[in-house]
Amino acid sequence: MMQAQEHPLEKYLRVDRLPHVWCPGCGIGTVLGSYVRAIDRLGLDLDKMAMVSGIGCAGRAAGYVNMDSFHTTHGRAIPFAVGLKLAKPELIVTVFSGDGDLFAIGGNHFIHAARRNCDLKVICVNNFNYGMTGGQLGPTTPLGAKTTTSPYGNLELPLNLPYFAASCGSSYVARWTSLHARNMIECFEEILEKKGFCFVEILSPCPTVYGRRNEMPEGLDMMKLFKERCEIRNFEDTSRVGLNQEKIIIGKFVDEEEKETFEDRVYSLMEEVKWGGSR
Amino acid sequence: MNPGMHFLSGNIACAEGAIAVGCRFFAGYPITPSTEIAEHMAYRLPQVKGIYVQMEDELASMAAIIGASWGGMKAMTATSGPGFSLMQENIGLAVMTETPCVVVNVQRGAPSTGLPTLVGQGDVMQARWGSHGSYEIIALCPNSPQECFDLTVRAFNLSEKYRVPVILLMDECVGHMYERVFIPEEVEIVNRKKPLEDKRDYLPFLPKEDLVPEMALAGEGFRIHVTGLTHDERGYPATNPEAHEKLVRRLCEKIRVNKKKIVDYEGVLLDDSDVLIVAYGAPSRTSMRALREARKRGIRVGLFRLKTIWPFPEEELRKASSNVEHIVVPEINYGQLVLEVERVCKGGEVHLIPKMGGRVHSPREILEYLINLNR
Amino acid sequence: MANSKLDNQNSEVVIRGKFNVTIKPVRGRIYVIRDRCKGCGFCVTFCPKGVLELSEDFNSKGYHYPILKEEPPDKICINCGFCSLICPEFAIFNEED
Repeated sequence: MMQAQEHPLEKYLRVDRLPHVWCPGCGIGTVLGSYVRAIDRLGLDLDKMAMVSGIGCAGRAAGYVNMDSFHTTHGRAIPFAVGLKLAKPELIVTVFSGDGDLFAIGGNHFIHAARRNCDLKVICVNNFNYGMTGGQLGPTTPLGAKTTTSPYGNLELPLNLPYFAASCGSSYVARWTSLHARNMIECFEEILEKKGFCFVEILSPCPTVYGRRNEMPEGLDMMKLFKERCEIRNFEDTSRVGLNQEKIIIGKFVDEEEKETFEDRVYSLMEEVKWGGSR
Repeated sequence: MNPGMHFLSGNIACAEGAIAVGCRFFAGYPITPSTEIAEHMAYRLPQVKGIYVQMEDELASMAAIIGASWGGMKAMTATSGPGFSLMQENIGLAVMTETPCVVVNVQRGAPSTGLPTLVGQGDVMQARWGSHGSYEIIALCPNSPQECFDLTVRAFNLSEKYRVPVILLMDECVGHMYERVFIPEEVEIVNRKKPLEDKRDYLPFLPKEDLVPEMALAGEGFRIHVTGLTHDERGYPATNPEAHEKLVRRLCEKIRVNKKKIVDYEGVLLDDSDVLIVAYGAPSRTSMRALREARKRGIRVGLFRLKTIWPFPEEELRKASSNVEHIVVPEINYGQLVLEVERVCKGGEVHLIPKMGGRVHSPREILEYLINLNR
Repeated sequence: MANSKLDNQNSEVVIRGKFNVTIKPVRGRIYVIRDRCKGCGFCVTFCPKGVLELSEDFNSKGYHYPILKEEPPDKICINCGFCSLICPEFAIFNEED
């Protein structure tokens, strides 16, 4: 076994900021690792990529990738990305954020970006709570789970993210976990090459604030749970992949044929409308 | 629009001013009485290779124009009171990330839903302090469709020069009034400073002598990181008191030290007045009529009409009011501009003529107030 | 009928039959950037061959980083790369030996 000072993927990272802020046993780093490996495998030009993130633990990812990155306000990563992509359509724009940021405060923006088929790659790291702020309940917290704002058990029902994304019109919908590092790489390769609104949910352990209160104090506890209970069912009907079952259903659920994106339509309108002089 | 004389409303003139100065991105949400700006932009922007997006709400609109600005497009949104309140958080993001953009607020009767179709001027303080924290911002206030055109051009230029969001504080009366607007062949266009350094040496938030950093855009290979967290010159989060002190001071100072170049006002008969009217927007128009009538009756009235509300023209107003007995502030709210006037003017008694909203002060109302002052 | 014999785990597999084939099994070399490790244990738990364990020693942040187990020929790194993929910290990677 050798000691090393440099990792082979460092050209994709802001190495001066490592080690990153995520807790021991947090799965976000693994997601980021699979993301940069996908970029590596595809040989993409980092100068033509941008990452937009929101507030939360997953949102910190923008600070670690070596590309133009924007750490915006809570819930507003998607509309920021919409504006950025429209102004610079040649960029591959990835939105990398968490379950609360994208689906609670940001839920409305998700609906409309998906509806318009904006060409954005949305990666949602779902750790079942608001981790950054200490572990409060969120839109994906399971019923009965203990969080700091549900000390007696969560009274709310979680959102089935793939079902929601599919019904908003997302042309690619998948769910994997931090354990499924290889599947994540393939999945990210697919979405980085695919035109249109793409959504991937990655389930991740959050040992420090969520796991600890729900009998999974180590990152390994939830990872082992993924190993036991995950079942890959590609193209499963998304209405049946809610997480309130014995099996955690993962896989690629929706992968539609590429269709016209919002950016296509906006830019072709520009071509069609000729300068009309005075009104 | 072809250069020459046109008959336009304030809203349309504002939109045309934006296009003339190079705005090519508009993201907005319909709200009376600003909707005409959005509609006109939806029609005109594709004609000039620009982009109109109707976002799902005002929060998204503000976020989208910041994103588009980082993508290199001059970007604008337009709203009214309720939408302006929603935009505040992201206005803060634009201030913190030093993103050039323009936010038009066509004020209406407020608070809350208020009087959607009628004039108000209740957002003066919100334009200055609406977002959280200490910061400086620029707000311009036109009082005619011609000025809507001219000040929109100025708004973009100021926002590019100082890398700050600029608010165009209109009111419904000015937005909907139709007057002659002269559109010149060309307008002065100021663009944000581009980085001169090599990509490896560039620091996205290192200020130059004028306290404004050069701005690289996304997709140019500079690998910038932009965050709303307190950051250092590299743009990386630096959440400690020293970095915060340095950053917040600079964000404020870059406007404060350049105040003289930013503030603008129109003075009418200032040298020879006992009574000074301080106003902006629609009431400044009716004040002019009141001023002429008062002068006919021998009352020596002058008018200090604000064209920039923020930064507030303190020195200029202090000077103009140094020898007057009374200062009269007609505004369509229950006292916002008057607070600044009271703060700044040391000589003379300050009087507020408030109207809650819905109607502009008539020349007669102002005249009668002026006449009664002297008794 | 082919015969295969493992001479020993570290060298070639020889299959004698109609055609004599020598297959060199893939082996890996593991590198650890110790100061990045946060001792989460993912690499240790999910290594398919179980070749890793957390050291007694700790890094400058106080975490126990992974090391190769010193055990009989059974525990050999086959360069699958999973430790590298699963590590959230960019603290471990593999290369073919």
